[in-house]
Amino acid sequence: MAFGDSDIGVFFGDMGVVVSVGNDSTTGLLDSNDLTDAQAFPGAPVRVVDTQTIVTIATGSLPSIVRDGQITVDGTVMRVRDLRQERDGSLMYVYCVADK
Amino acid sequence: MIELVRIIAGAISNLATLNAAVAATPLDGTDTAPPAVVAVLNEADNNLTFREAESPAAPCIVIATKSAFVGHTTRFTGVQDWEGDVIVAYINVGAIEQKNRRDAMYTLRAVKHVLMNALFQGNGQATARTRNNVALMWITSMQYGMAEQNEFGGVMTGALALTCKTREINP
Repeated sequence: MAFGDSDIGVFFGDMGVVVSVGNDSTTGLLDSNDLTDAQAFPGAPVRVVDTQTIVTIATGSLPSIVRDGQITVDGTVMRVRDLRQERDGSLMYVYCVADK
Repeated sequence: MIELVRIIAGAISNLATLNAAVAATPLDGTDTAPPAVVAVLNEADNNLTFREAESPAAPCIVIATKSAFVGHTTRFTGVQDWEGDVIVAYINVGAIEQKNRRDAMYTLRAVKHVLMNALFQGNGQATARTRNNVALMWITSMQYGMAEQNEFGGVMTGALALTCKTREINP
């Protein structure tokens, strides 16, 4: 049996976290990676390590989500850095940063 | 060049002076003032790995060499001159890239102001420009306006790049 859009909720339900924007709430997959920003100061001995936080949600599951808007991911208030649809458009990557 | 990095760090390391200049920097339009700088670090004394997840000191200024220093192989009259690049970097953590970019530009403008005052204003700054028999003779060019934030991260980086000519005494 093929994996379809209707299975996304079940898939996220197994290992997802609660993601909410305003009064909208859904479940998404949380990934957090530290990446060295090698381009920050080329030639200088200064290393910058960015934390890249990505939440994968079903497209349309958070209707009020906007770039630069606030989002709560697994209880942590963050801010949306970018939104990108992936694959056939049924999944959306939400790039978040700490809301400082 | 350790001495040069420390000369420049010394010129801007007084946070009260630096942040007074940051506060005094004119703002365009409805821009809001950048946050106060909390630390001035340099490559001679510090581990310059800045982690967004920790970010204990943001915003901060970091001084580091950006290139090797080039000099004549021959010494003349007891001195040897060198030229190379140093960066005065601004690092901050923030969620809104546009605000971070403005903060970087305004803060670096204040840094430039303090740096020039400390090193070149009037005739009495020779001591500030000399360390361990190395003197900063002049800054031959400056690049201002570089600022970028990783596409998906929260760290803004910006820099003044200074091309410096130094004189080593009794090399």
